[in-house]
Amino acid sequence: MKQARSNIHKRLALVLWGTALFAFVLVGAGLMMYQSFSLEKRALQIMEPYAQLVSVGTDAAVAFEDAQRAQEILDTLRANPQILEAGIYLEGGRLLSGFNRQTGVNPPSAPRSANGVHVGEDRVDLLQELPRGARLRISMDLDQLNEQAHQAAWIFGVGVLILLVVTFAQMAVLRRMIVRPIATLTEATERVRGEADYSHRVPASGEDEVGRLGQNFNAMLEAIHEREEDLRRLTLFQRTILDNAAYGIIAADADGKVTSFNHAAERLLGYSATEVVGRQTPALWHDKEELALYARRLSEELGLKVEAGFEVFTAKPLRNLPEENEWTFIHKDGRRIPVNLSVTALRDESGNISGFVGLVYDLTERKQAGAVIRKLNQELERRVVERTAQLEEVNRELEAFSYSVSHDLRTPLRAIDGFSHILQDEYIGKLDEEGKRLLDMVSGNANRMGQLIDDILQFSRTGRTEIRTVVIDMQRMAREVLDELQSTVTKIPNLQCEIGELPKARGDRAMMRQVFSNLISNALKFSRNREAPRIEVGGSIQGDEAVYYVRDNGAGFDMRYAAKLFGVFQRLHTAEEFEGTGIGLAIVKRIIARHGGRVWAEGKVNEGATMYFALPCIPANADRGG
Amino acid sequence: MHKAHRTGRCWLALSLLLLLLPVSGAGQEQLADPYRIEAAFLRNFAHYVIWPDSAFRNSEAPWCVAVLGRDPFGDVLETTFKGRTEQGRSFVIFRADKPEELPPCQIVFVAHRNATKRNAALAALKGKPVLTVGDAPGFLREGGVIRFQVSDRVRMSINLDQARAASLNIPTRMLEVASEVMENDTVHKVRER
Repeated sequence: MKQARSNIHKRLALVLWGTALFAFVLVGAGLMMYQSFSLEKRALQIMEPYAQLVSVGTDAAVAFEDAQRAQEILDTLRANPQILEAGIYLEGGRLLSGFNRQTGVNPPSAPRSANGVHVGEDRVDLLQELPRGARLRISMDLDQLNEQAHQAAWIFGVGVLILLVVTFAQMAVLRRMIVRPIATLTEATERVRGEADYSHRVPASGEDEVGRLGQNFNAMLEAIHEREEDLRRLTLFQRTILDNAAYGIIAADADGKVTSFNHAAERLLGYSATEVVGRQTPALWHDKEELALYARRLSEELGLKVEAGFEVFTAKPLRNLPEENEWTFIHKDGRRIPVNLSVTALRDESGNISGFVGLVYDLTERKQAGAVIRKLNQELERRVVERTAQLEEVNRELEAFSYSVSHDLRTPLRAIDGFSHILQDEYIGKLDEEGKRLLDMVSGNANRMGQLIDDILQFSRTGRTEIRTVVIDMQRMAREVLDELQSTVTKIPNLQCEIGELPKARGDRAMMRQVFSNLISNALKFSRNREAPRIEVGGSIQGDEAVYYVRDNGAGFDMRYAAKLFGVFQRLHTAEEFEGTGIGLAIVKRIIARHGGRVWAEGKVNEGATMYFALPCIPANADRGG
Repeated sequence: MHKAHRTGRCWLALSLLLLLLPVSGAGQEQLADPYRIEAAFLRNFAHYVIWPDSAFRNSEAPWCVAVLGRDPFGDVLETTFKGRTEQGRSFVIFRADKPEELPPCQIVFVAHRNATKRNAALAALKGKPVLTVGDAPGFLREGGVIRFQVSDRVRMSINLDQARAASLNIPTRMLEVASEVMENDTVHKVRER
């Protein structure tokens, strides 16, 4: 912390002092260079006008070697105290005239140096050509010029001093405006990092970048603080759900390492979360054989090789398929527990798999309950079978009895019939009208009884005869039956018949003919008294059934008695109204029931009736025979 | 090192000065070769004095410098004027005994020791644009324009009347370095020496 502060401070100081030093050196060097380079020029500036003056003034004096005149002109230079010496040398090098402020004597001969300015240690010489080969020499004291340099040095020194003071002031300002706020900010960030204390705020004032940095930092802390709060609440919420859920919830990362293991899972498997978090899931509580088995099944189902490891659980979720299956988990103490496990992939915002969550619930109780129910059902079924067998036995015995009774009743009945015929044939003359009437009644009842017995026997046979199944063209069959009935039994003059498209059916041909015969003759019977009797036979495929109907516009029936219609000996009309034994519809029902179908009726008194029967649909490819 | 060098040079100059002092002092007493200086003066006259255009045959005509009488210069004149030009004109030197023997000259040095000869020569040149120079003591009175006086140095006296008579213009600068100027038959001492 101190380190950071002193570092930035040091660097700023280094930069500032470096800049100041650089400026100092630069200006100093510049000044010195100016001094040395400009010395010659400045000296020339002073001496050149004098030289010009002398050159012009002494022109004739030189030409005529008038030392006096030359001296007069040179003496004017004495007015300038900087001029130390002046002399004019003739072409031969002889001194014409001159003065020397210091020694009073000029060098007697011309200097050998070239024309121009010669800077010495404490004086500057100017040598200039005069007309007629003469030369002028003017020497100047450097003190005056050096005085300027000293003044410049003083000014420079003062400037450096001011620079020092300004630099100190800048350092102070920088420390206050940048170094200290940044140090505070650094301390704050370190506290946040070290102690996760988001409540601290840095003093942030000012509109400059440092101020804004502080404000942004505070705002950032605020946001982090809020988010931390939210996260904490969410975590608590999730923790509560995980801890209190009845289902075991096990989360694993994408490689199968357990990342979370809730209380229910701990209870279910006997492991504590600390024991399993970070370990590979299939290793601990899965049955290896079961895994291998399921892996084989999955491989077949998905058409690719699935290893008998963690992949078993992830293969489907990775392909967005639901993964739910029953497993046998192994408790820490070795118990085997039936469970239901559903696995879901965890995807991040970009859709990448970040892990998996497994939901486990114990199936032990459900399995036990299931077993009890299964046992009860088996018991029940067994009983039903037994009872059914008993009932069938009784029924068979009863039917056998009634058959034999009916059969046996025929012989005496035939005797009664025969004898009543004999009476009618041979003794009719001996009977009075009453006797004849009674005899007719005996004969009629005997006939009727015979009919009853035949019907009963037929009904009984219907229940026992073996069914020989073929495919039947029902439409054709209905047409044949109708034609036959119309031509042989009862001819109804203005009958209107309509036979629609009937689906084909599978069944016993004779029995099915019996069905149509019974239904159509019933229809004829009940509608024959109508003014415009009408019979309609139709059918259609409805779902998995072929439904047929025979409709008439005859006497009809009350729907209240619809259930009775198909019972043995159940009649809704008197024998005087419509003849019949009450067996026909019972036979129809038995035949259709034996073919796996059902019958029902709809009707209304005096408005006709519709008899329906439905048979299971024949498969489309079973269309053979006819 | 630089400083030491300069100091060294300073000392050297000073010691040279001391060494030369007595020699220079002795040189001031007596002029080694006054004619050499006089020859140089003659050349300078061509520079300073302004002749009328009629003094020259044409614009390219050279300066004509003549010595009348016994020539005291020897070959000094030749060496002084050789290869020189003034105002675009070269110099030609003539020597004669009488002015009649000379072509029209601009500068004539009258070397006659004999006053009669001198006067005759000056009379012959009188009125012409000729700068007459001589070193006889009464040269100016005799009608010469410039007279040389030789002592420790060469001085000159100028007869401004004669110069004007000869249509010669002698500029002030030259008068400044003359020791005597004679004007309106009066001799002015320009300087006391």
